[in-house]
Amino acid sequence: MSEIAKFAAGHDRMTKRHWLSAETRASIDRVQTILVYIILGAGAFLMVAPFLWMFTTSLRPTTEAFNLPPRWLPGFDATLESYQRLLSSGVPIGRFFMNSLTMSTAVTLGYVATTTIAGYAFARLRFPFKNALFVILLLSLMVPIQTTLVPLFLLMRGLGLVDSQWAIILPGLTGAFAPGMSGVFGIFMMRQFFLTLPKELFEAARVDGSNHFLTFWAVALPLARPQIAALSVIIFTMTWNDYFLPLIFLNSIDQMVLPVGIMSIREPVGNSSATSEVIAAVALSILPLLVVFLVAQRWIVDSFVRAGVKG
Amino acid sequence: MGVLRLENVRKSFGAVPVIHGVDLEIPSGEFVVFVGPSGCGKSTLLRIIAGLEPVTAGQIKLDGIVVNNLEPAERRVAMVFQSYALYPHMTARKNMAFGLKIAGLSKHDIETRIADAARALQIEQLLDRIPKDLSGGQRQRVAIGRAIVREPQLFLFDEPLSNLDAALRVQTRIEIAKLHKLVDSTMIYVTHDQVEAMTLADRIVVMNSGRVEQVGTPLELYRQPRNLFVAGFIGSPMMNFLPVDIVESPRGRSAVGANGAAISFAGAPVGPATLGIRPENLSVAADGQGFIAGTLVLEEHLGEHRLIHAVAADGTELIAKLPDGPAYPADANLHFTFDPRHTHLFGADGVRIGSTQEQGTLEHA
Repeated sequence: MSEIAKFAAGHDRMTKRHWLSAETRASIDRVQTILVYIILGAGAFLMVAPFLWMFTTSLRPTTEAFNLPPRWLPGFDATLESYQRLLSSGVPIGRFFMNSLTMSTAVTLGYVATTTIAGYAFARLRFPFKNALFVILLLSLMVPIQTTLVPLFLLMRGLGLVDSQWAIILPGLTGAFAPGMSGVFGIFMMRQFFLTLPKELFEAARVDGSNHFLTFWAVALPLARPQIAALSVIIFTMTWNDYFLPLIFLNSIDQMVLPVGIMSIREPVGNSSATSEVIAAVALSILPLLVVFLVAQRWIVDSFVRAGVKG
Repeated sequence: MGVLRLENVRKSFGAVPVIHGVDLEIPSGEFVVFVGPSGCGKSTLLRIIAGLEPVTAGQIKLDGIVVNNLEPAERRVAMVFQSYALYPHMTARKNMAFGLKIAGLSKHDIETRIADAARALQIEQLLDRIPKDLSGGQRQRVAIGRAIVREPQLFLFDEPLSNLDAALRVQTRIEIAKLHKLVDSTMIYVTHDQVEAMTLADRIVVMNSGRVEQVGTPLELYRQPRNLFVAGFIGSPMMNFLPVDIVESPRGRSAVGANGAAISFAGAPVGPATLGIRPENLSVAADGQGFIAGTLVLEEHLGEHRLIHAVAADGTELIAKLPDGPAYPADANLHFTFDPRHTHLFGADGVRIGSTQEQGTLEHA
């Protein structure tokens, strides 16, 4: 036996499975891998199941909506009846859709722009009371959104913006009252990211003659793309799905967005027999989110992996 | 041009002073190396010169103009960082062009400067790669290229070789020396590696605890260190320090060592002092001879020479650098002697009194 083989054998004996043959160890590894796949597969199914059920149900007659056990796949007798009934019901689903799209896009763009700039300022600029301001900002997380709702409503009524999407977009632009998500979240997330960038990078830009704004625009922002993508997806999703604020601020059907609008489907169509139509509307409403997730998933994963690596 | 003058430059972080009044003049075209242990303030001083840190007091003058309140770009300095600090999302070309675009140079001028620098640094084929796709050495060259294209008055290097492996460090060191000849600009280079300092510098500034201990050419520092700190810092392995007492004797003022050997110092004050002898100036004497005796602790064979580590009876640690030869027995009692022309005497305050080259002779009893 060569010296290397002896060393390898010695090393092998030190491991806890040294008494097992190579074939047995390979079998154990295979079983472990299969078990991991089964557990992960079960988890994945639990995540996907509601969506699968929703799409399948939207393609089935209403009478089958609550069959047990549920059908997971539409089958050959799938029908677009629910969608046809929905679209011909007189409910302005297209208008809801466009309203949701406009509102969510505007809030996302504004929120991401302002919180990214604020995050950069907190991470990289020197200004008086910086830390105190940041603490105050963090403390504001403790204030429940409901407590600020009445003052905000009065403010918007004063501005004549009630029953206008501006009532939701304007506070959302700065993250001051973003639907379902405080602006502090975005500021904190972007600040933490900019803090992970090496100080020398910004100093190099300064030596190159770059001012703060150019450094932010040309150096920091391109590096923050994954974080910006992740933040955008989170904010877009939260705004798209928000029910609470539109319910408070929007009254007319013209201004209505999908989550609140979908609930109104039951009225014109009739009663609980509209379940399939509601589900079809929900299925339509989550399509943009699916597209956003599919497009941005690489950056989202990248941003979270990086966050993990850099601690 | 590129004459730098520091006048009583001080820097404090909060209440903690880190630079205690530095005065220094660096003529145009000189390659100056700031060297010192970690935390001595050398990088802070470099960043002050760059304009990245404001001074607490004092003046920084470039070509006679006070630049204290000018931004780095206005000072026309370029800096090469330890971590390279290349913009990760830009190609090497864009990294080099970034500062030039801000300066408002024409596209043609930018291209010309980048091409010239790339040719000089042999990175022409790397210009369209992003830093992630470059090796450490290549990144360093791009970082140097980014500095060159700006044609600065002053090049600043902050430990630029620290992240490279030993072989690449030597190679890049040579390239930086060539670069200095090529561009003929004033360069300030910060390192804690005295080999880099000795090989690159026209003059070395030795710093300790925020103070300049000595400024001089590499050989001046090696041969005539002003104090114990410089003597210990310059030279590897470091100088041996033997505590001695200067006493009056029939032969004049002298320090008496082991075996009755004495070294006389004509002008030295009576009292405790430190005798400095570089390891390469120590040799092993025959039993009963030599100035100091010590027990062998370790013998390191490095091929062409060996390092003998010994400890004297009073606990003084000794290192001798000897030509390679047969190993001594373990715990051997060795007697060391030296050429008195290559010793240094420091007073009780640690300041150099002189070298025996001028004033001392070693006499064995």
